[in-house]
Amino acid sequence: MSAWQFWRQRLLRTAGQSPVLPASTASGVDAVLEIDNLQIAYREDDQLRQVVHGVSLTVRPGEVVALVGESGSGKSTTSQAAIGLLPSNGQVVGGSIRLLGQDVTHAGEAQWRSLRGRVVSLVPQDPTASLNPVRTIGAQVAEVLQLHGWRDAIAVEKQVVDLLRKVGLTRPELRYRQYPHELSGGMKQRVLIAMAVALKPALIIADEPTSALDVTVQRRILDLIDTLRRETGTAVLLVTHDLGVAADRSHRIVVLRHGRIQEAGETLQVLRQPQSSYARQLLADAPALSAPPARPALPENTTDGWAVQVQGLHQQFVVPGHGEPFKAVDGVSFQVQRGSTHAIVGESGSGKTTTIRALVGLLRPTAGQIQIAGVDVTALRGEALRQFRRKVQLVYQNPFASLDPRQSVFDIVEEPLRNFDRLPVAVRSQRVQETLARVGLASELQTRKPHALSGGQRQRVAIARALVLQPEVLVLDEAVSALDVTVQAQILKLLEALQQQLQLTYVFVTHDLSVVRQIAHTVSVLQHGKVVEQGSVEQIFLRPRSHYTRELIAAIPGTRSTDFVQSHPNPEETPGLLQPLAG
Amino acid sequence: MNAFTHNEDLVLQVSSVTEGKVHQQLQQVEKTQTVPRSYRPALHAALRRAARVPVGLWLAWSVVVLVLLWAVLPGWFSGHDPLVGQAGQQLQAPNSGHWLGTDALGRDVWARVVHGSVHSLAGALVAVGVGLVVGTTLGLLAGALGGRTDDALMRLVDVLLAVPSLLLSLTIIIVLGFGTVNAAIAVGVASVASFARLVRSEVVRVRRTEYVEAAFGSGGRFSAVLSRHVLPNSLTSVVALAALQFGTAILAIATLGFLGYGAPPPTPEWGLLIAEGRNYLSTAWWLTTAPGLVVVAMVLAVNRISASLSGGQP
Repeated sequence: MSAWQFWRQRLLRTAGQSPVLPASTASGVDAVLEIDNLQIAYREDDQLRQVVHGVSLTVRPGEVVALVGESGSGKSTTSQAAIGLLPSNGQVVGGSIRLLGQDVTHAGEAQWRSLRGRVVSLVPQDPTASLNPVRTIGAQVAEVLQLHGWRDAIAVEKQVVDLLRKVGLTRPELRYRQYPHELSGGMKQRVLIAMAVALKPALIIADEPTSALDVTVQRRILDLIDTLRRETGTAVLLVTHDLGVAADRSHRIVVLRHGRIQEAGETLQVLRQPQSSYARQLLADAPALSAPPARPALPENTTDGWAVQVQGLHQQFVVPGHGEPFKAVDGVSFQVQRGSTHAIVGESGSGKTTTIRALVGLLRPTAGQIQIAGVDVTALRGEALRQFRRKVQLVYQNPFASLDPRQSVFDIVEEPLRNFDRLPVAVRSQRVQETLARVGLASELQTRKPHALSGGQRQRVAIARALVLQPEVLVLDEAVSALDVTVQAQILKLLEALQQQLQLTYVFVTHDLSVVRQIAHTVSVLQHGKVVEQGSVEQIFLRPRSHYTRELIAAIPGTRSTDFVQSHPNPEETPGLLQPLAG
Repeated sequence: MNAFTHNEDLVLQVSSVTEGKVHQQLQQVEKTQTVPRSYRPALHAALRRAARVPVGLWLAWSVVVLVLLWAVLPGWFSGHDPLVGQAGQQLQAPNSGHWLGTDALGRDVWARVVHGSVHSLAGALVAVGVGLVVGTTLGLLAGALGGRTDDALMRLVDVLLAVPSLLLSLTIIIVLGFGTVNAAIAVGVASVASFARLVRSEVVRVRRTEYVEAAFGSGGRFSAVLSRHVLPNSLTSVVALAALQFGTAILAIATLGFLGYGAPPPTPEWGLLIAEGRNYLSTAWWLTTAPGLVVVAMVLAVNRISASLSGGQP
């Protein structure tokens, strides 16, 4: 063979032209992906730290297998190994991975290039970070085809437009020429799905495909993946932390923890009769799958009046280049009774974050009144505003960003005290200790820096910082959304207990209605800066009046399966659940 | 190997500590944290860490430490007097008695290079100090206050950046007068702009973070938040720039010395050494080459250290 022929062959192979697998095997094998006793370790400081300890799973054609686990459970590592995208310091130290019967455990980069896209493809987690901002949507989808040997520009464009239409994008010809920033998050995720299904792979690995999206968008995207799967017979490995999503969307569930399989089986089996204690714990903690806890009744005594009163709140932002100012909040009013929890629910862009920023005095509203403990926040300036901050405290969504990485836990919790009265060091120290104990943090942790804490511990530190000033109102901005379910359940319990002990009033902002059901007494549903529905939590969930609220409730993942688990002992009778596998 | 695997398990246990079981597992955590220490002596660990440092960085640090020693203890390295020439020994090529030869007055070049290090190092230190303090203050004010203060300060910085730094240094020296310290101050002022720029961008970034907003939200006063959160978190990359500027400053001070704006003639300052050797370039190459190579080695070493500080390479 001449050198030229050799290189040409090699080029064609990497371009995916030469058949990697005989066409017959693709339909003949009984498993798309077989992972057997897989062990993966990361190299850190010259040491191997094993994170996956013997995981085995099989994905058959047309099947959805959900890989469920908390952060750090090894679910992403396992799925990355299945598409040859382990981080450079990760390596498979044992076991095997087979794609369509072909052993790819130690496949080289060239071999992976020919497999990716055609045999296995990936739908990444964050649609915004996963698209190249300086290239058009069309060019990026076309790249997948071109890499795999499509040369005819007209055919490529036609195919790309078809793909964009297939994933449910309106006006695909227009989208073809648009850039990522012109598309919403849901649309971007559709584009990524189009790229994943472009070459009709046998397996799609969806790594938390919807965790960056709103609930209603999440539902539509998952529907889309489901439809495509049914049309093309593609198998899906769905990696998720959300047991609700897994329950709704998968045929089989594999539960991981610390790199070991805790439970594996048919989805219904796992949901109804979980074998492992960890799976039972997960089920109990998943807000959408467990029955709502009995809420303590609202304190009857209303002589205190309202802790928070918001009336006709307007917030407008001037957008450069637009004549009309953007109305982020458009006439929001609500009241919160002392000692109760009011939830503000809405999707991104509904104005919920703007509302609470005005509430805690970080933003001056364009118009409207906010009264907290009888004080009009909007009228406060300078020192008066600073003094007011004792009464209302904000807990942020992301405990990784809201704690100064250079401060120790003690410093973080002590800081608010140093801002006000000149307390002696011993008194301050005692107050910090008390508060740390109250939020369930061991005092040994107080010398640690935030990076040495787990997510849940960090959020407890953030809550302690908010509580140390003994505020009357605590505003929680998606305070549990970034946490794993079990941790989320613990933080919710903690908040509940603190409310009872300290008579705190909570304003709880979230996009997750299932959490609302667990913690709130009253609810305001926001859409486009307006309150579309308001009332007690029972009213909202049992008798929603607005279409939007109904849509939000329907989008809670896991609802379909809960109904099923609770009321239908016989799976075949349930409409709306997964279609039985064809063949 | 046994100890190794055991240690690996311990690492895993630490990662397995989950929320809520904190109380029960705390003791365990304490154990897992203390046990590895007894298994691996601190010295051993330090040696392992040191072995991972690249050769280039080792070399860079050795150069810097050597030059520091020259500055502190010049007598250890050279027995000759750097200022008084020896009669009859003019313009000797490098030999066993004079490692780097002698100059036109019979002074030992090696001694002059060693004794000159203190001038170059002190000058660079002053220059970086001026740039760091003034630049950081300007950048911090601009980034933290924003608005018109920001605009005014940054336009001032733009002006400083628009003038070539050598020209700016020369202008300042002419105002302040000649001398080592004045040259150092002049070089420092010329570097104020780059410090101010960097600090401002860092401060603007840190100011937008949630923990700064949270600090204001818990009643922090402006100055307290600035000193507790904004400044400490902005300084990491400034340290790397300071190291880089140290090298640049050595070069700039040598340049000023070469042009005659720095230390007055008998002083063995590196730039001046090169300038004095210029006239003998064709007959006595060592007069310019030796101090020139020292300057190059020092600047390269400092740049390498700066690169490692900024986190690009270990």
